[in-house]
Amino acid sequence: MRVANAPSAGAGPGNGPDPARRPRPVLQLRDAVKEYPGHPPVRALDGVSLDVISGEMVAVVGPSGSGKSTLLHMIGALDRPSTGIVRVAGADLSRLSDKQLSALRARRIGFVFQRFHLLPGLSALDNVAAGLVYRGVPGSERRARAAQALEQVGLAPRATHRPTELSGGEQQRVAIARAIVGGPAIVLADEPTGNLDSTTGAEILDVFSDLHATGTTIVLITHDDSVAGHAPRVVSLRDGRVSGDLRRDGTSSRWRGRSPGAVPAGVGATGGSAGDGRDPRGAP
Amino acid sequence: MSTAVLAPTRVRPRDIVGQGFVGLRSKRLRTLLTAVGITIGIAAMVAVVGISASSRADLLAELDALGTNLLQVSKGQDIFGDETELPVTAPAMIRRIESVQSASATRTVDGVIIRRNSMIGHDRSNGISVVATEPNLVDTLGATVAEGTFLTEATSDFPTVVLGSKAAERLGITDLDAEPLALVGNHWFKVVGILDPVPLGPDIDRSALIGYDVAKQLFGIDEAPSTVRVRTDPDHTDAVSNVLARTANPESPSDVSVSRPSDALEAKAKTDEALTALLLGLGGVALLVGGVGIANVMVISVLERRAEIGVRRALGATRGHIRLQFLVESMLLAGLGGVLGVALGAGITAIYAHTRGWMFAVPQTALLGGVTASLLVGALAGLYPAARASRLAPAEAVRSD
Repeated sequence: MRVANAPSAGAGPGNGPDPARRPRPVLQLRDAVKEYPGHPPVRALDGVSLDVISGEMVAVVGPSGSGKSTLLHMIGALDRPSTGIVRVAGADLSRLSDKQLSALRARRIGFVFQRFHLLPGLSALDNVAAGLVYRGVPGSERRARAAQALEQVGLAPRATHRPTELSGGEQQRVAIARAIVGGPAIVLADEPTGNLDSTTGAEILDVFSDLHATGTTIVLITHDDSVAGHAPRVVSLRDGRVSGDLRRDGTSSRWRGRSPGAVPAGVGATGGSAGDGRDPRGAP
Repeated sequence: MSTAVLAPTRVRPRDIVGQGFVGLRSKRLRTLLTAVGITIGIAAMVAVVGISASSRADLLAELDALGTNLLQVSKGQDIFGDETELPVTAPAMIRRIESVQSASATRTVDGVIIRRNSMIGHDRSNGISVVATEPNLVDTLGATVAEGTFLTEATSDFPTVVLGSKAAERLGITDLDAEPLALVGNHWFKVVGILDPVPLGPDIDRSALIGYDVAKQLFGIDEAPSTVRVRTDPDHTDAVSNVLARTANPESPSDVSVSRPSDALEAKAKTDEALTALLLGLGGVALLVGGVGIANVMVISVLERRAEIGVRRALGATRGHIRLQFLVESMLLAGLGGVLGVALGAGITAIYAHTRGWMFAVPQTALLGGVTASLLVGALAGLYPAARASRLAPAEAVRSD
């Protein structure tokens, strides 16, 4: 199979994709269930079905305990579902060995963490280049591609600085560069603005929007509705189930989609149905 | 949609080693303090081996200079345990053996002692033997004269005496400027020479040497020698040694004892080996303790670096990569200690050898062995922490809270 490996591949920016017209889901969940053993067992994901098309930017919102982290682990190929199907870049996770999962993460997924998680002993450039270490790319090529990625997030002048010499926003830009340096099929960001003030957070979200504009598939996981509002598509999670899936309609600020059950405040109307036209960013 | 078959992840060996160095560099003080244990162990072992090797090299060099081609024929004991005598003809017979370069007979003058003056009692020998000798003894032994001259054919007829180094010391005669005299039995002898220490004839050091003729005249000694020292062609020492007893006493060869004085020196080099083994063992214990220290620090390091492990797993590292990373880091840590230890051990050896006036010798195997041993200890110490690091579930390690 072929998977969108370069950011330019896939769908165009912004518009609401139609699965029938664009049959290239990067992410495909079918009744995914994840249970953690215990007395009684904890069902963190309770039958989640979700498609993400190449080039989409999707925010997954939900309060803590809604199963966000577990969903992150599934679509990040860090864990396998108990039952159901999770396909990442076409690969069915439950059929992959630990080594194959590692290969999938190395070649198809880029991670951005809330707390940046840069390696303290390395310069910004080397941190970005570390994103290619497990592909066996030679050092000189790694650094050349890392320099490009830093350029893309607007941090080229800080390439030689250590993480301790960078601000939080700059560190997160380095982390984003590390996530995209390998041209992944999907960039997975876990509360990327959680450790930043609102101004810096907005800048980081702009970086994601720019990446999305160039065709990168992005899944943004957050508990913050105002962050989720930056994405053209918002998937709400509650108690391990998808409780809402809204798409912004083209260039307008209208929202369309299904919202069975409760929709989080700020995305759609509380207790109401979807598609009532409210902008999720409306309530600051 | 088919299941993707992706090429497995891999890391270049350079990058694995590079990661190890980054890990160590980011905690410099801890790295240094942890490596010290290994350094002490390796340094102790290298120093022990080095000092022992230097000492042995010195001894062997000394032996080389002295030659291992000196043999000594002495009167032995017969089957009843009684002392036997060498035949009078023994020295002449021995000189006739091919490959014998020189032979010198000596005879202890029993019952005669040497004193500074008559005020000292007859019973105070001071442990000094009076020995009658042939003038060529000094050449056969390879001995050197510290003061004056040795006995010659001419002076052998007169009451002149040459003192061994210890004998001179005990008599209180350190130089010949005052033309000292000494009382041998009841006769005044002129001291004409003092010998340097003779490594291959420690008994000569404690002797007062006089001429055969004067010993016969004044003390009426038997002409039969008590000892004959034989210098041989270095290539045929064993052959000569084999025929020496039969030549010296054809009638009863078993009454003759033949020895090689250099054997005693070699034995001395051997006795050091037991001590070396003991000290090596102690160095090994230090190494072991150092290894435990490394294991300890690595376990802590794994706990502290859960986030890093998680990130690396997210970037595509397999369990194997994580295990290898921590194993290599542990080996580098120990290897650093090993390299420092080898340098320190060689330094200690150099200083010790210098103060003893020995030549400096550390076997190459000790240097390579020291580094190898430290790497091995590092690998062993890293096994458990590395396994622990690799068992960490990636989902758990990246948790942001």
